[in-house]
Amino acid sequence: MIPIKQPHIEYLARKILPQLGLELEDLDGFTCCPDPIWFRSIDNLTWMSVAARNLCVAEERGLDILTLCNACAGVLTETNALLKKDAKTRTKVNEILKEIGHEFHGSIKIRHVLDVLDKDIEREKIQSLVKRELTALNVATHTGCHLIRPHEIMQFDDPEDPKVFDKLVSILGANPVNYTLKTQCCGFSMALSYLDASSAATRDKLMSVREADADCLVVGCPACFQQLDTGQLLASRAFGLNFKIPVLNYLQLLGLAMDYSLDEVGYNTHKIKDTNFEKKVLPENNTLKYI
Amino acid sequence: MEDIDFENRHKIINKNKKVVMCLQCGTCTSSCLIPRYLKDYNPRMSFIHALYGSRKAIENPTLWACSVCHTCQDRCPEGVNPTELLISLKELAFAEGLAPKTVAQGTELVLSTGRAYPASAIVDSARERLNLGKLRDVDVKDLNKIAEKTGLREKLNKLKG
Repeated sequence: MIPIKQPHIEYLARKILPQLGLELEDLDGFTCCPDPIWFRSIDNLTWMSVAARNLCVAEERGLDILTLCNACAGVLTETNALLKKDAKTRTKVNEILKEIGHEFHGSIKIRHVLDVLDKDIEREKIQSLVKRELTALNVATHTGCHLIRPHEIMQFDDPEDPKVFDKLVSILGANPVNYTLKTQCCGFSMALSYLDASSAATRDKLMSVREADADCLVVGCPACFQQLDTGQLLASRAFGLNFKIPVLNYLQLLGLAMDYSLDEVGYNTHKIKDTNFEKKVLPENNTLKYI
Repeated sequence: MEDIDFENRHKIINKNKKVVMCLQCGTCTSSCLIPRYLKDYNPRMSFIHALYGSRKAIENPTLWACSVCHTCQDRCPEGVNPTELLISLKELAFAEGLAPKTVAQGTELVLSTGRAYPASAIVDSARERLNLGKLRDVDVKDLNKIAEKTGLREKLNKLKG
């Protein structure tokens, strides 16, 4: 989803992560994970085999997988764990993979970028990149579903009271805020057939963010981003509400703290923009190109 | 009370043996986002319908609103895993052509391009502006071999008619 719908996130990852000592390599032969909602539900065995094939592509190169997406993290981590645990399914999947010249061994790890920033990179190292602390900014974090559950497998954070994302936001000098619907799903999956219901779920989440006086909402997943940004516009129209809560990927917030401009982090591609937010993250003399 | 359709019940329960352990406590449903917005979506009732082998278990179109967020799975006090039940109900529904058309279309897109979203000239130029280079071609031969072997290809063809 990111390379096609949000390439500026790929751009930021390629530009920023090496500065934190992460060496990135592209994997030829990698395909869509595939998605954890619909593809998984129409044919579980195919879903798992395609995911396992992707794991094999990384295994054969001896590389761990870094993802910028909750869904990819969830699908690949879950498949990896299920196949390692369940010998019967592993044999079945390996029989399918044998025909295309792969075999699943379970030898690598799958890591979401937030997980790597939290567990592998020292706080001081991230802080050393920060040129402009975002101290004026109140930030609501949305960890999202597939990064955090099933808890036994994902082990990213406490799904009932997530704190990791808040910690990452505070490293940049910004203030994480608590809000009532912090753990509520963005509503993306309902948008397929039930746009009104999806908009209502997004509306409630955004109302809760607004009540907490957050200047922006930060996510770690392109689907959550799309739902909370484009979906915010749809919810505003559907319910006659004037939401103006900019949604940012964590890498965009990190980029802004590194003194990248709003244009460079791709803010100009967003549906929802807000001048109060812009004033808080921009240095005095900066002007916006898109206005 | 309707009669139990044992044939249908076995079809569902064979895939999820723990379904019979469901206590009907409703933790799954009260934990779930969807019933707050779609009144016909009710995981607890899906268990009842499954146990009765009722057609309602797979004919409910709101099944497809689930985000597979695993909250019911994490919270179920009996370890029944409602997420798995809901997935297999959708699997049965899909095979009968009861899934939204977009679901099959999305799957065909993955099988024919290796990606979940369509590439375009607009995408290419956005990537070019960021010096990211063009999207690489994805070899989808393997994906189609997998889909043939698992029977997904046959199901998709049948749906196309």
